[in-house]
Amino acid sequence: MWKYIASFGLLFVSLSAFAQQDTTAEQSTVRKIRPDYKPSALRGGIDLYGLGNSLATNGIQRYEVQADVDFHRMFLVGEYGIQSSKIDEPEFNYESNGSFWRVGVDWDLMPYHPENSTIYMGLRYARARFNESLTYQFTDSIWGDVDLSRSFDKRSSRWFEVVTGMKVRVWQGFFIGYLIRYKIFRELNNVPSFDSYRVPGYGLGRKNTNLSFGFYLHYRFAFRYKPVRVKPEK
Amino acid sequence: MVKSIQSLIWLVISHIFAANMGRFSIIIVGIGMGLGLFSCTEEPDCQDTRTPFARAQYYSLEEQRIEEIIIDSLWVDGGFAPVAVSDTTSFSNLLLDPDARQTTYYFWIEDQLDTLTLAYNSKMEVKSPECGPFQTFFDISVVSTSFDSVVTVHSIADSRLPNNVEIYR
Repeated sequence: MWKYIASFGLLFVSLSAFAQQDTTAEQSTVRKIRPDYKPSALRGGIDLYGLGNSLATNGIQRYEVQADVDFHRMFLVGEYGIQSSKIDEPEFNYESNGSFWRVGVDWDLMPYHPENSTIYMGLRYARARFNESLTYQFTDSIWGDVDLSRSFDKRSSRWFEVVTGMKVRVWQGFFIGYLIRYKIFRELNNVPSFDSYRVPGYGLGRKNTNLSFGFYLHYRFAFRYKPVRVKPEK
Repeated sequence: MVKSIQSLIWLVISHIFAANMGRFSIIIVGIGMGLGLFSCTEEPDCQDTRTPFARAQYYSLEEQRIEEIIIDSLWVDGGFAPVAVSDTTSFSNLLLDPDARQTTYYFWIEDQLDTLTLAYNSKMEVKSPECGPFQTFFDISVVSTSFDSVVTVHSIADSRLPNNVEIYR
């Protein structure tokens, strides 16, 4: 766990340093204004990494969308996704289907960028609802034919995420960016007879923490003009 | 462990590069980061200490020490074959019915029949596609017995534990 925390610390330092560098070049071209907490744009995105994985592999199908709204230097973020996992082995079959959502905030580490590109760190609260089934049959010399198949509906889980990433404007309203998620404080409503294997949006249920990656394509719908902030002089 | 640390170092370096390079380089760096994180995936160890049986150790009630006995046969309720036949031993592995919550055993020892019923809970877990499902037996307890005394010492069926029950006769 400490290696992940150390890595996020390093990331934070590096991102902050970059945010400082970037602003100095743009400082002369923007107007000095007061903090503006009124939202100016809605940015929607899809996770290309999950989409690519879904197309490339048969095991896990994950489709995820994201939206954020700006409030001064913060973004209120909402995410929703669906995921199905399947294992087809000669000895057993496993399936998991469900949906997940996350809400949280991102803190903009690059608030003075003229094109609204951003490097950010944030927090998420996430929940998942899903169904699972296991088909497991075998023949034993003592017990004969044994059927340990099980099916569980309406399972749920919740967890928190520390996230960091960047969104860079590439053309007009289009942005691309990546997002690294460190998932912590997972709670599963495990039934006594089965431990969840794959939790949609979280990953392996047996792990207390998980690290995942997203690569997003976003489009920013600006609904009002908001001047780019200028870095206050010291 | 080393692989994970390498991947995370790669991830941090990638992030710094992405921050200082042109906007389209983010695509390349993003793919690199994805691959780096993919390599973080730890392969699960398929070896497992869980056992499908409860281990019973035989004791002499009078002498309060481990006793070696001759088992003519040991049967399990619902089983198609004996668990043990003509065995000289100081312990037995009592197979737990995987699809039930209690199992009864019939011990033919020195022309005498004794019974023991164990109750337990079990849960399934899929470890990985390669390792497959595992079943854990826990909350093992004695329901009834015709032995002089049976004591539960460990309630989880695990090879790291010496015994689950001690049978005194």
